[in-house]
Amino acid sequence: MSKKLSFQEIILKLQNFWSQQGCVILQPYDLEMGAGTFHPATTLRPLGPDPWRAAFVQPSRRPADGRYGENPNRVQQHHQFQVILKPSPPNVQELYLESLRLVGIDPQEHDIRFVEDDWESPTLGASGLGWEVWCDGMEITQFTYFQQVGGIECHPVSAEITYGLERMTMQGIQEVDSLYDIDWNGSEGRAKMTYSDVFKRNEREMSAYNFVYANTHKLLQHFKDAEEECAVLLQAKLPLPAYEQCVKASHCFNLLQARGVISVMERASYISRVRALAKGCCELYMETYESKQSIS
Amino acid sequence: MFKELLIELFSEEIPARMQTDAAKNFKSLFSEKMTRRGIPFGSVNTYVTPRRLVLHAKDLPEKQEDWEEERRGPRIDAPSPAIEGFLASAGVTLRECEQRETPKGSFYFLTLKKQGQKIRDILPQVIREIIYEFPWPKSMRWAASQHSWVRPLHSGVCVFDEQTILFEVLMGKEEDPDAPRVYFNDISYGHRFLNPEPFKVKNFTQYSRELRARHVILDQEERKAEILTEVQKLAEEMGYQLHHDPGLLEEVTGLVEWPVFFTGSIDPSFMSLPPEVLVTSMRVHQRYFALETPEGALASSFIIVANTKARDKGKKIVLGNERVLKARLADAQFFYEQDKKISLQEHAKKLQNVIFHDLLGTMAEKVDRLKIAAEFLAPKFGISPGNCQKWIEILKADLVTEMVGEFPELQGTMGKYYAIAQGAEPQDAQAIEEHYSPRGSQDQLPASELGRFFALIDRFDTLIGFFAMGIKPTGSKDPYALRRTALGIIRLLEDEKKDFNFDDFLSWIYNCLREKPGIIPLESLDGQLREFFVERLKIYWRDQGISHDVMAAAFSVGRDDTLYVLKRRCQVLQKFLKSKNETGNALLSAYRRACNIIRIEEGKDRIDYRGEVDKSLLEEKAEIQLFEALQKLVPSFQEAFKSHNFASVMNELAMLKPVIDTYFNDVKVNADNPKIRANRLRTLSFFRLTIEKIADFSKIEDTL
Repeated sequence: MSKKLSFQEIILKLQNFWSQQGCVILQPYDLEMGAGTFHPATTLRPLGPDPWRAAFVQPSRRPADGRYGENPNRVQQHHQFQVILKPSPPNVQELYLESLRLVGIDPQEHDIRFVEDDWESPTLGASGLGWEVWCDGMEITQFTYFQQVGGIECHPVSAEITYGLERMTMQGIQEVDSLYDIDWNGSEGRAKMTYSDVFKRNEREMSAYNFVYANTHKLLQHFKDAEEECAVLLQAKLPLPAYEQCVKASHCFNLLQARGVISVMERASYISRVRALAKGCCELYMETYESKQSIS
Repeated sequence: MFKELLIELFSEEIPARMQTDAAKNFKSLFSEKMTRRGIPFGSVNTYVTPRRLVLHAKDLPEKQEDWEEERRGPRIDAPSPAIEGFLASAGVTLRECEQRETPKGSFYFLTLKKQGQKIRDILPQVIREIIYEFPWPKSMRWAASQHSWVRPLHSGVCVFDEQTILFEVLMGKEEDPDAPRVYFNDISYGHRFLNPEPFKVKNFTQYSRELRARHVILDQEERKAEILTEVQKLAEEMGYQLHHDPGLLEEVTGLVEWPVFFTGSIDPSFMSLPPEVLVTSMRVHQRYFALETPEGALASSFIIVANTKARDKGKKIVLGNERVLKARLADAQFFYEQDKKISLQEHAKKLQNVIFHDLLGTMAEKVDRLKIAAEFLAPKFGISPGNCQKWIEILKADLVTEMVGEFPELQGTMGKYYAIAQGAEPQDAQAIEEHYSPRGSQDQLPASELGRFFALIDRFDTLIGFFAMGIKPTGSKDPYALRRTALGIIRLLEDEKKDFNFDDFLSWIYNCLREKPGIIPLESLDGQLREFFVERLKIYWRDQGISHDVMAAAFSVGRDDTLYVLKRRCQVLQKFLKSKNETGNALLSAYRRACNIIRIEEGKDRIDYRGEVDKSLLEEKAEIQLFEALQKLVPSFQEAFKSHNFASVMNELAMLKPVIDTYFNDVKVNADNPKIRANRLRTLSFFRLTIEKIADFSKIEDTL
C-alpha cells in the first residue's frame, strides 16, 4: 500500500479536488475566529441569489479547549477545511465521499456514516440541517445545508462541508492516537516535521495566554470597542468592515469565556449582542447586495 | 383483478429518531388520500431505512369509481369577490351551491361529481400531495427548493401492477432551473457503499429480495430483530450478557441498512470510572452496546454495529472505534477528577448562576424553597428536618459539575458518586440519585425514604411554580414536561401510606413565590392544580383498569382521601361493581330501585323525603334491620379506609345486599298509613344517601 498522506498533502489534495469542482480557493481569513463558518465566504456569501463555490483552510481558535499541549485530542487552535457550494449540488454527498477516497479514506475499509446533527450558531444567528460524518465512530466532518444566516432565510440553499483536518487525519488516514504524532510534511530524517514540531510550543504558550494572561479588563473593552465600531460601520453602509468587527467581538467573547469571567447569565446576553451585530451585517449585506452582473 | 402498488422515496440519510414516525405517517397519509378519493385498498405496509421510505399496498382496483368531492366555500355573507373567486375556481354558478349551517356560521357548500379515473393516473397527484404535506418534525430546503423534506429527496420508485409510472415532483418554482425535481420511475439503489449501482424494480417481492442481495434489509423490524439476535449471540460467546437498552437498539436500527458486528475493548485504565459514565459515554457518543458480566458488573468489552462489511474484516474499524472511545473516556476521567477537587457544598454555590426558569429564578432559589418546604413537611414524613437540610444543600450541586455538563442524563447519579467520594454513606447518598425517579410511567420509584421525600417536594415545587406563573400544558404543548411531573407525583403518592396530601405542599411553596411578579392568586392556583391532577389521575388510572364512572363515583366522595386511600376506594368499587360481581350488581340495582321509587313519590307528593327516620314508626323486622345496618355502615366504612383494611370494605358493602333484598321483599313502601309511608320513604332516602357517602353510585354506568 502506498505511503499515508501527510497533513499538508491532505490539504493540497482537498484544495485540488475542490478546485476542480469550480471552487474559488481562498486563503485563511486573517482574523482570529472560532470556526471556518465565520469566514465571510461562508457567512455573507451564502446570502443572495448568485452562485458561489469556495474552499479554504481556516485555523479555528477555541481558547477554552487549550490543554497546554498535554492532551492528545484537544487543542486551542485546530484546522478546518471549509467548502461552501451554492446552490447545493444534487451530488454533494457523492463529491464529499470522492474526496475522502482521494485522501485515503476508503468506505470499503472504514465505517462511514451520516448521523443527524443539526447545526446552529447562536452568535451568527445561523442554522442548518445535516449530519456529522462518522469515520469508525469519530466525527470527522460537519455537513450542513444552510437554512438561515444572520436571521435571513437562504435562497438558494448552500451546502457547507467542514472537515476537521486533525481528527480526519488521526482517525482515517494516518491512524495515530495523538494529534501531536501527525506527520505534517511527509519528510524523513531531520526534515521530518510532526504536528508536535510545528504547534506544541504554540499550544503551551497560547494556553497560558488564554487561561491566565489574557487581560480580561482590556478584553471587555475590546469587545465594547468592536461593538461600537461595528455600529458606526453599519451606519456608513459598509457591511464587510462591519462584519470584521463582529468577528473580533466574537473572539473576545470566546477568550473571556476561557478566562471564566462570564457567568452563565451574562453568557446569554453576550451571545445575543454578537448575534445582533451579525444580523446587522447580514441585513446590510443584502440591502446593498451587488449581484455578479451589476459588478461586471 | 386487484393490483399491487410499490412506492419508494429515496433520499439522503434520514435521522434515526424520525424513522418510526415517518413510516407511520406515510401509511396514514396514503390511506387518507386514497379514502378521500373513494379508492379502496387492502393491506398497506410501510418500511424505512436510513435512505428510503417505502410503501407497499395490496388489493387496489384498476380504476376509481365515480365519486363526489365536497368543498366548503366562503361564508354566505362573504364579500362578493371571495364568492366569485370560489365559483370560478370550481367552474360553477352560485345556483349549484348549497347553503349550510355549521357551528362556525353559514357557508356555501359545493358537491362536485367526479368521474372515476384510472388509478395509475391518480397516483402521481397522490404522491405529490404526500410529499408536499409530509409532517416531518424538522425538515429542510436544498438548492432552490421551495418545498421541504427531511433531507434532500433524490428519486422515487412508483410501480403499480408491475408497470412503472413515470412522473416528476417539482420541489421548487417551475421557471427556476435550479429547482430540484424528483423523478419517479422503476430504478432503485442498493447499499451506499457495497452496492451503489442502480437496479430495476418489478414488484415488491422482487424489490425486497434484490435489496437484500444488495445489502439492504428493508424491514425495520427485521433489521432490529437481527441486530438484537446477533448482539446477544456475540455477548454470549464472550460469556457476557447485553446491557438492556431498547432506546439504543431502536436508534442503531435507524443508522444502518446492513448491520455488521464488531467487538472492541475498553482500555483497562478507565474501568475505575463509575459504570454509568462508561455506559453513557458509549451509548450517547458512540452508540455502542454495553455488556455485563454474569454478576451484573460492566464488562470491559462492547459491541459496535457498523453499516458496512470491511475488506480487512474490520480491523481498522475496531481500532478506530477504540481510539475514539479512549479519547472520550480520557475526557470523562478528566472531568471526574476535576469535579472531585472541590466539595459538593462548594459546587452548590454556583447554582445561583443557573437559571431554573426566567420567571422562577435560579436553581439556588429552588433549593431554598425545597429547604423551607422540608423544614415543615419532613416530620410529617417521619424524617428529621436537620438531616434533610444537609442533603437538600447538595441535592442539585452536580448540575454545575463538568461531568453533568457533558452528560446531562447523569444528573443525580454523579451527585451520588461525588457525595460518596467526600465520605457519605452509599445508602444515604442514593437519595440524591433517586430523587429524579420515577422518570416515566415505567421507571422505578425511589427505594429510600429520603429519596421519595425529595422526589415529591422537588416535583411539587416545579409544578406549583410553573402553574403559579401561569405556565401550564396546553394541547400537545408541554415544554416543561409538567404532565410527566404530575404523573411522577401520582406514582409517588398512590403507594405512599403516610398521611400526605397535595394541600400540604401548596401553601409552603406558594409563600416562597409570593414576591414573584405575575403570580396568580392562591385560590385560582389551587383550583387549576386540582383540575390538572384529576385529569392526570383519570388518564393514568384508566390505564390501570379503573373505569371512568367508578372514578367519578369515588372522586365525588373522596375529596379528603390521601391518594393511597382514594386509589383503594376506586379499586374496591371497581371490583365490587364491575367485575361481574353478583352481590355488587344486586346492590347497584337495589340502589337504583330505591332512587326510582323516591323520585316518583317525591314528584307525586312534592315533598323531599330526605330527613330523620322516625325509629318508633319502624314496624317490620326488615326495615328495622335496614335502618340499623345503615347507621353502622358509614362510620365503619370510613374506619376501614382509615385503617387501610380494604378487605372489610368489601364485606361491609356485601353485607348490605341481603338486608336491602329482604327489605324490598317484605316491606310495602307505599303503606296505607301515610305516616308510615312517609317514614319508609325517608328510610329509603337514608339508604340512598348512605350509599352515596361511600361513592356516588348514581355515576355508575351499566357494564355491558
